[in-house]
Amino acid sequence: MEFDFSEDYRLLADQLRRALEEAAPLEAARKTVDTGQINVTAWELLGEMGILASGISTDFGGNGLGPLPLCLAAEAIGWSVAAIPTASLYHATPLIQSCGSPEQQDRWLPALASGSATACVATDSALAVEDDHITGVISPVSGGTGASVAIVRANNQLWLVDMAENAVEQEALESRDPGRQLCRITFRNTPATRMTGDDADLALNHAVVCVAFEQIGGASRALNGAIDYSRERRAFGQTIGSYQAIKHKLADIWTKIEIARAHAMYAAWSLGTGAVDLPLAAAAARASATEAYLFAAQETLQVHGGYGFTFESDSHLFYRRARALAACYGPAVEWRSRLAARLIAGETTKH
Amino acid sequence: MDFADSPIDAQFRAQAREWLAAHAPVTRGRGRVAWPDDATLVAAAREWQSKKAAAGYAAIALPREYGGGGGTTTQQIIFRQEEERYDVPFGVYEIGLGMCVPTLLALGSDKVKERFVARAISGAEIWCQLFSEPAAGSDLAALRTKAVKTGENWLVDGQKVWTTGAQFSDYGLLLARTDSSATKHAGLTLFIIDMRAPGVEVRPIRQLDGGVEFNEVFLSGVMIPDEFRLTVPGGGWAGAMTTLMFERLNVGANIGLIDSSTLIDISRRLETSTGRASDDPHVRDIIAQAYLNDRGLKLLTYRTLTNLGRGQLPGPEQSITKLVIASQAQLIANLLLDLRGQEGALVGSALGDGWEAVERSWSFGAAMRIAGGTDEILRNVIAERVLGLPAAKRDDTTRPFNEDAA
Ligand SMILES: Cc1cc2nc3c(=O)[nH]c(=O)nc-3n(C[C@H](O)[C@H](O)[C@H](O)COP(=O)(O)OP(=O)(O)OC[C@H]3O[C@@H](n4cnc5c(N)ncnc54)[C@H](O)[C@@H]3O)c2cc1C
Repeated sequence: MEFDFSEDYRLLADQLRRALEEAAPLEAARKTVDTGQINVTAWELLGEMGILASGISTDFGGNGLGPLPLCLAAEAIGWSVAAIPTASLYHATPLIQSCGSPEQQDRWLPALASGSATACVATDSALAVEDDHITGVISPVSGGTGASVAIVRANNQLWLVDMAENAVEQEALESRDPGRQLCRITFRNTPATRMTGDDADLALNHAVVCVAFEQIGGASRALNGAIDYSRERRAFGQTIGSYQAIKHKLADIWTKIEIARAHAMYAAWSLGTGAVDLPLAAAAARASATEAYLFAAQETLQVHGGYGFTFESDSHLFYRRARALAACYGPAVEWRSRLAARLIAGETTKH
Repeated sequence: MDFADSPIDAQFRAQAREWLAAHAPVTRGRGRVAWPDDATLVAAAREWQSKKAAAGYAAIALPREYGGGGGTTTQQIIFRQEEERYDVPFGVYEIGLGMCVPTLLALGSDKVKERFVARAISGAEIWCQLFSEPAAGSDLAALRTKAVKTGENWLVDGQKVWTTGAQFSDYGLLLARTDSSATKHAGLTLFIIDMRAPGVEVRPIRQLDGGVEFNEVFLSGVMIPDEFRLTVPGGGWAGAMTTLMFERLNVGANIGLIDSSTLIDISRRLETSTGRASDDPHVRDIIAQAYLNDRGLKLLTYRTLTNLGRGQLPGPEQSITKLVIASQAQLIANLLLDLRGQEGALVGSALGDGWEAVERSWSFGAAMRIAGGTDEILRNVIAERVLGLPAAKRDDTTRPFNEDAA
């Protein structure tokens, strides 16, 4: 039994966390709330560390390491609350890898691997297609601002649209977490190319497993900050951390994180080995991590008292990001409902 | 990541499986057999224990020289996973083999080990734990039962309570105060007590669920020979902590509570006035949440096995299990009983197949939130030992005990 990342990967996780702490300090995340700027340094760092290329096969400029390095990076991204176009990394890239035609892969994957391009997935509702031209509006799209290529759905198929085309318009939307940009994309008879695969589930599961790691990273950092604060802040002659209302709250957060981490780890294994239980494992990881981060963000803010409600504190960074991550890829209730349906139908995990 | 057993463990599992198939009572599905009375339970447990002992499965991780299996904790857990599939008599030897015998091995003299360990493992002698008292539960060090040295013996007076299995035990671990003028934790000593000695009176306590598994134990002038002392006088607190550590390390011990699989099973078959229970969105949501918890705990056990395989002790993740599983069993049981409407107020045996296990979780879930450290104490332990939060300020540890108790 070896239910853990290998030693190499544990070292990589450590490196990633330290590198991102430096490239994307919480102070930068705070600035992003006002500027909405992507953290280019952090993005480049992920490129240098081979993370952007890890889910991409070597034929197309990737390093073929598979999803595990990306899961570890996602945890570090969560830990640093970095402003990074993760939708490209978690979702769009694996979708092009799994469903793109050879030409599409050849055209986009090398650029995605090097970080010179980003992609977005705008498949939430179907668009109209005629003669390989797409028309319609889709909103909100995560990571659409500045994306070079978009994946859309029309006529029960997936299509790729080069965002450099003239007949596309992107309009940034105001979102609660400006570190995760959302936009509206309008297609006006924009040329598109058909993707060869239409099974979008693998990429979706890939995305939610990555997000689960990001949520766990964020929740852990929020918990750490609250532990530090509760050991220093004094009230009624004692540090607040000696009071049980605070202790029990933090113990409950830790418990939820540990359980969520166990689910995420299993889902990463399932993803990495192509196991048939991925849908079940991914749904469990998604539901568990969403709950853990929402709870951790909300309750660690509470531990900071009035300071937790200020812009100066870190609490709102976690509070915003927890909300943004809960909102992507469908609400938690839906994931729990999907999970229940699978369980009631008798699905089980492999191990 | 690799979920496979090591080759040695895989071989161990295969052999255990084969042995169980040949020797264990028939599988009877989920839920434990209800035993008509103690005598039947103890007789069945003794028989099962001696069969296991003869095959080396009685105490797998304990040394062979005392009749243990000489294996690893991992193998102990593997055997439990396999044994789980059968309705074997359960509970009689848990405290003895999980807590008392490891304590004897850690603290006892050679003579003590020779006298007691093999007999406990073979099932010949049953053990219980006499720690809690009416005025000392979570705050165990507040206990008042006194042991006074008289010549070569100790004379014990006092009262213990919640002593599981005292009614059929032969020996027990007894924590008593030997020096009232010392501070609360410094005046305690750990002993072995002969449960058949004169002056030991066991009175059953009737429980919420109607059962009588635990007892009050009155101790009046009970003689304990000095060679039954397990720690230096005044060293009992550290000794008791050793026992409680073994309790925590007793990984994978089955507490027989229902989980998400029972909820799925029953709700799939249950028709309510608004349709099939498993179609109800609220029920489905609890199914998902319960699964997230118990599947999560199972995965945390994988982590413990990983640590054990690396030669490390199980980590703090073990303290999560009881905290999560017991209150969840209450939640699931209440939901299922609720779905039966007015019928849900009937006793389990009147509700049909599988419902006795539900009723048992309704009642025993409550007990498991208290036994072996309450939910609140476990949260304190996580906060202080895992997260490093400061201990609550207290003023009961520095004064002599007899000043405090006065
Ligand atoms: C089924 C069962 C079997 C048992 N078997 C045994 C046995 O074999 N041997 C044995 O020695 N004991 C046994 N016990 C006793 C068990 O260990 C104690 O009941 C338990 O430690 C709690 O002690 P108490 O009952 O005195 O409750 P108390 O300690 O009085 O607790 C009452 C309430 O106060 C809370 N509380 C207490 N201190 C704190 C604190 N510092 N912070 C926050 N909340 C606090 C508790 O969480 C609880 O909610 C058993 C109990 C049960 C239910």
